[in-house]
Amino acid sequence: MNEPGKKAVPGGRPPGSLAGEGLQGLFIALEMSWLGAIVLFMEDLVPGPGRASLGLVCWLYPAAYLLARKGLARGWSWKRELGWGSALGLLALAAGLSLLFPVRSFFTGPGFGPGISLLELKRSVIVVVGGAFVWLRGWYLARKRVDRAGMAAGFQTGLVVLFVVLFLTGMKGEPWPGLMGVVAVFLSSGLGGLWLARFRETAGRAGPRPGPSWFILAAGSVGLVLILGAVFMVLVDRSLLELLLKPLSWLWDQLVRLLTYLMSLLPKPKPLPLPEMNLPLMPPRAPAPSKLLIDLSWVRPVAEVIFMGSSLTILAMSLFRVLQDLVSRLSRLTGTPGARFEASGIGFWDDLRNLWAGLRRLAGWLWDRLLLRGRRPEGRGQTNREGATVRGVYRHFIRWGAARGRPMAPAQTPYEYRADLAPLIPGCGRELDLLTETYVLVRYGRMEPEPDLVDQVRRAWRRIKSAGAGTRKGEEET
Amino acid sequence: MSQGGAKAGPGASEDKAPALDQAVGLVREAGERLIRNVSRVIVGREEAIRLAVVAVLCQGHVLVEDVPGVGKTMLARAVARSLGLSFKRIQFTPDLLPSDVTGVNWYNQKKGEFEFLAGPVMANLILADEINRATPRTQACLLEAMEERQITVDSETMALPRPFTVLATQNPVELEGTFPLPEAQLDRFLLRISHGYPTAEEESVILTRFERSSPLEELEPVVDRTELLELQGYCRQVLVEDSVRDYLVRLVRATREHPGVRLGASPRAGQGLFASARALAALGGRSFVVPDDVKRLAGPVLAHRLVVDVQARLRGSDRERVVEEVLDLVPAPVE
Repeated sequence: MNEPGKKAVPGGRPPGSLAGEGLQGLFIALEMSWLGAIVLFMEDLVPGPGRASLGLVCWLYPAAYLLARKGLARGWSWKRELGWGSALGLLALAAGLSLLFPVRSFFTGPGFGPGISLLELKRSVIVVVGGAFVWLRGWYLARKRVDRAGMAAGFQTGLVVLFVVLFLTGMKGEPWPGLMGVVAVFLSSGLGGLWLARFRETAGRAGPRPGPSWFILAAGSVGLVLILGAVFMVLVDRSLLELLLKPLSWLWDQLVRLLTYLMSLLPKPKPLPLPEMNLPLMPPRAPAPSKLLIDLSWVRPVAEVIFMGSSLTILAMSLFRVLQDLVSRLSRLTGTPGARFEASGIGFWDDLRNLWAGLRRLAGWLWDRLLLRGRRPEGRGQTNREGATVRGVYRHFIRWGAARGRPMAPAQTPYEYRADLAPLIPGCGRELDLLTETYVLVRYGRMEPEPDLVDQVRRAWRRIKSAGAGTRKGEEET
Repeated sequence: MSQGGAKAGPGASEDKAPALDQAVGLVREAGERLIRNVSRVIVGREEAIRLAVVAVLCQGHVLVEDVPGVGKTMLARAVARSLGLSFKRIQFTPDLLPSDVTGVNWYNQKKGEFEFLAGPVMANLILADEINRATPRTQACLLEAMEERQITVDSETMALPRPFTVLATQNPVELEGTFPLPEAQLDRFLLRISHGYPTAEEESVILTRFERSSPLEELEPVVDRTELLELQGYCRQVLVEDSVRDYLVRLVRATREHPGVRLGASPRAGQGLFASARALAALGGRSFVVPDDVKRLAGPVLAHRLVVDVQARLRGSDRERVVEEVLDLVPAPVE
């Protein structure tokens, strides 16, 4: 599966727009839903007394995501970002672990080791591993662009994970609480996000816009229906909501406790003597049966119908996409020589292919770094790496420009972007030219730059960064 | 930027790369020569001249469409004179017959047999002046010549000389006594050039330059036939990276999917855009095509082939605007 946004421009459109922020929010909700599914599933495997610790794990994702985006927008160095991230992550993990077993029980309680039961140990491992995974994912995805392709890739990643979790749940026997809510939130945020991303792609363009394709339109419609389904499911089965809100309620409890304790320290006024009254003894009144203002018994069947119908539609559409990709693939294998088929942007087949390519790149990188330790044989690999460096520098350059309020538009070419960015960094015309021209040579001319040229590009990039260091997003407008 | 400091990658064979660089250098040098020569007659309008040279370099036909009196015919004649090729001019009029263009078989009474009298189409460079004034029947006689570089007269097919290029002019304002070119014919023109009125300074220079005599008469050929054929071969070697090729295809296909377009660009348009982007890259001294080449040529190559929906036209859209929208819509291949 391709991770969201192979094109590494955070945002894609000028950040700060309502649709852009909404899309980020839906993306976070999408990710949190399947991460929550993993956490809920693990919690069901190792049941424990409280959920606040696991709830904190879920909150680590948006924390890492937003912190990393903030770091990108402000041009933090990786050391600073790592420092802040580690501090926040460790704080959250410490809070989660302290919720699992209070400090006092660590020393005095019975059980495993110094007062920890085996169950608590398992849960603490879950908290630490899950927290680290969630944190890293949030930090990693903050660097990727959330556009239609990114949203679709994130949706498919989540769908595969959810299928795995559902499969494991089916093997285990009983569904854990909150399952339906997780799926409903996942589908609603994912499909709503897809629709919004498509809308954003076409909204900013001048003139008459082409209408959305039937697939996106259908997905968006089903997404909207599913949002209603999600609301119903959260009302009926509140496990996910409880999980997410548990840390907040825990904080609220601590605050109430603190206030109660502080109030207990205040001097207490003497109670006023009450006058004696001789009243006849009354029998205690039986409590009246509580009546709900609204009869909610119809909610569950309605929610189930909506949810099941929408889920089946989604599954059918996913199956259709898979078959379409498969047919394209087979046609490519058996069809006319020379005929080219368009790659579908959000197909599973492409995702699998990209995943395979990514794994190969990772394996190659590990081979280079760990086994060869940079002693790569002379020739092709050496020069390829130089080309990759130039492209990597240009990716940083695009991201840097986006963080300063000048994201590269999808239809923009490197030369157009260079002209667009020039007013932002006056006095760096030669550096911009060098970076752009070298990138164009490598990207479109398949040229392999000499190491000297790559060094010059690196130096130019550093000068551009230092010259534009004072410029922040929106400064130009002021 | 020169390509110093970089060497050919795995996609470009190392022994061919220097030759290619040298070849595009020759194309650039010859192209500049041509442009300078034509600029001695045509004031300003360097973009139009460059486009005409691009068309000549990739054996494409050019339609110069503009209001009367802005130098359409002058541009075509200047390009023709700058190339040392056989040149014929055909003034298209309503009474022009297909045989006046292609030629005719006539009976030679002395020899007692039919002989073929070649028409003006048998030349390397044809100036089809005011092409939309001829009847559709006469216009249609150019269809085979423009696409297949051959003509068929009385069931006999004859090849046209190579290179073969048609430079046509037409006036889009006048409708009286004209016959709009059919889509099939428009599609055969690689480029449509429209340069509009000159600026005040340029008009002043035109008056000075043409004060005593026409500089067109003094124009000498700067590129001969052999050299032109070589240059055309060099242009075909220019590298088009896969993603740029896909970008070009997506652009062409997007014109067909545009809601305001009734007839989008044809595969022939895609071929034309591909070839002309290569020629433009070579003319710029580059051995590879960049997306900017494709974008720059999308208007001249694609716009005249589109048929815009009536409703879209009523909304104020036109062919050029459709191409601009498509260019804004299709993502360029960058990181």
